[in-house]
Amino acid sequence: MKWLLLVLVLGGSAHAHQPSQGFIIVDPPATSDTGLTLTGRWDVALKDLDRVLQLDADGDGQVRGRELDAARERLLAWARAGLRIATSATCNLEVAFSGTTTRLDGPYVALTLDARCLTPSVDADGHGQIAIAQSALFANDPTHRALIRMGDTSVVLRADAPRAVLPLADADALGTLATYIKEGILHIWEGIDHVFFLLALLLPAVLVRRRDPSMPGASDHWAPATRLRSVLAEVFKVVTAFTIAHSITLVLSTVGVVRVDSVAVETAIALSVALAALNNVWPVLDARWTVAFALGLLHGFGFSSVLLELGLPDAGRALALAGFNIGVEVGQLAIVLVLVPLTFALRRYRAFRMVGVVGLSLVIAVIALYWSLERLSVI
Amino acid sequence: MPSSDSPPPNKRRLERVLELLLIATPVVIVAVFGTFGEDPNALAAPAVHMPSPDEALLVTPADPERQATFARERELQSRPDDVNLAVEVARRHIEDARRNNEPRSLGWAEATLSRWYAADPVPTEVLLLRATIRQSRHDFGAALADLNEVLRRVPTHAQAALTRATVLSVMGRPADAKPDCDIVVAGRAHPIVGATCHAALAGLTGKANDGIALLDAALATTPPPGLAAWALGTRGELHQRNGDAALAEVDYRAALALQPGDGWTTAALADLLLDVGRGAEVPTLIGASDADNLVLRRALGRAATQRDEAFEQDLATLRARYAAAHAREDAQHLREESRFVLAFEDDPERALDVALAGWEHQHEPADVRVALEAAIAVGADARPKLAPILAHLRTTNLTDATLAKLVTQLEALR
Repeated sequence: MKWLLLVLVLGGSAHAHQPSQGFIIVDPPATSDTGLTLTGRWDVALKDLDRVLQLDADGDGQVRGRELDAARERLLAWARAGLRIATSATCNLEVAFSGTTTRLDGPYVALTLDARCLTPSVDADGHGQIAIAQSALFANDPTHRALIRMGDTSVVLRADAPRAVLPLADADALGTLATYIKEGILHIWEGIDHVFFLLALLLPAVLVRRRDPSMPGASDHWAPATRLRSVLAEVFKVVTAFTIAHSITLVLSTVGVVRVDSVAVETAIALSVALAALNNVWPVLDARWTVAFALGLLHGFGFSSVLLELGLPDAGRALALAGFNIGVEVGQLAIVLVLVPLTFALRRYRAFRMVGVVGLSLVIAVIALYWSLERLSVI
Repeated sequence: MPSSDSPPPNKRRLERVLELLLIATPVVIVAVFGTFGEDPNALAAPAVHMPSPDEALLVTPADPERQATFARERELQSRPDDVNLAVEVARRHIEDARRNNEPRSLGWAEATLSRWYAADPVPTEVLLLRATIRQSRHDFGAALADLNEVLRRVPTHAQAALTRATVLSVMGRPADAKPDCDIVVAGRAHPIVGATCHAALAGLTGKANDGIALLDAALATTPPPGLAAWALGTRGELHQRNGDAALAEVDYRAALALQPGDGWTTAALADLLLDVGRGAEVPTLIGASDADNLVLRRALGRAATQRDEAFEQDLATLRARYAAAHAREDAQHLREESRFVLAFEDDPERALDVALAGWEHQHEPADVRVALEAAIAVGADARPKLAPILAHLRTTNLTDATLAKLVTQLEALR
């Protein structure tokens, strides 16, 4: 029999179940005059709790809801005694039972944490710190790991290192804002599809459709607009419509109210560019601001996926989101400020109207159609 | 607004239609492809619900052995100084870990023993079990330290010698393990144990045929089934070193017949089938197992022929398990993870990085193989990184048909 222990060893990583682990998520703390308040969540595996608290009261091989209920006071007392949070002194920790949940390796109990702490003393850089120490579970199982996450910081507690210090980053509001504004600008300049979309919508802003009255039966053609004021009004309409539309969906998607499958969005964006461009070659819709708005909604989803990939800081999410959006608008404005005077100056030249607008729009349309096929993995 | 002559009615109608289509487009796209109210933190903080009174939250395995273990544990609580009882409880937990595929039980074993870790001297049996636990967790250096101490105290301790031989093999030091197999032979165990010990080492040092001869003789003595299965599995490995897939398959299947469901043998047979292009048989062989290394082989088996929903589920499971292992800073899975990344994530560079990280911890032939396969996929640039591994092959004289082919391939890369 003893020799078979060796065979155990040979099958080292054949375990179906995971080793013991726990999860603690700490929300960014709130400071006040009276100190620091910390909230969070602690997930403890039911297997571990059963081992420690003997939850199966009737011994039928199952831990049921009512047995967990009956053990609740013991559970909370055990949890309170097993976790310690401190700033300059130990915090007042309240633990409450919020229910059960399921993770990769089975059922867990979810506890809410509520800690009242003294204001942390700051170090040389002006940053405060919080200390978390767990004594629960390590004595029962030295292989237990506690995975702790606070904002962007993660740390693993082990039996031989059951205590960790988490830095409290000051929400550097100005710095965050500046970073995300920059990212917004970069993204729109690097996002060729967005640039092409704007281009397609704005190239004809300095033009009007005209039918030559002296030639009945002839079709419309592009002619230069006569008044700067009407050009500016058109530009303003298109840009504002695009801005409002993409801002709406950027925000809704980033905060998670609605998300759209990225392949669908990227393909739709490519097609939107093609449509806007083709509308310059065979103009059907004069009110290009409606095109800007309707299709701009799709572009907002595209911006959002970039932003989510970039990551938002836990503290100052709204600021980061606003900064990114501002960046996109600033980048957009830069394009407009270059494009409009240039096209306004060139509008009287037939070559510009034919090659510069119609020709370029055709090229954009072809490229955009190619993109949409590529994004659908057809090519 | 650029003015134009009033457009003809047809055009106006077309314009209206298109405007409607325009507005409809984003609406349709969001409706068809959108998800609502998705919490970006779903993975980190899964949804919580209040259980109902009768809801079964946790089902513990119906295992009378485990109940007996807990009973002995309660006795231990009333006699905490009884080291023999503690050793018995710990050993029971270790067997529980194997029987139920439950790594937590190893932790419980360790908790039971930890009381004596600070003792001076640490009792010999405690050291031996601690070494076994450390070995299971792939902490080979620490296991070796414990085993060295046990054998220093009791130089004829056959079980410690056998364990140390295995640890040294995994660490890539088969030559150092030979004296330990001699100790096993001199002990009171069934002769097949010593024979298998020596045969395994022979397979790692280029003498597979000697090992096969040893096992042929030992198996002829009709040993007990558990030991016979182990010997057959070892002989199967030796045949594979020689490149004799057919003979290897016979031995693996014979071993499985004696110990159905044995994880190690199932994995070895699965790898054999994958190598000879019979991956389609692997899912049936493995069945519904949830063990990490078997899920991987099942996915590899399905990859060629049957990429259905069960396959996707297996991939998702493996991805999550490897991510969890990284979060725990746990290095046991690196070899399997390298195979996974190479086969399914189309990232040979990362597969190589993971394989080399795994090499830091263990030096088995399988570790050599995943590194070679990843390096070949990366290309000639990877050759210098394999230098230590190739040196290891030369020093130990590890001779294996598949490895030889891979080495040739690697050296032929431009």
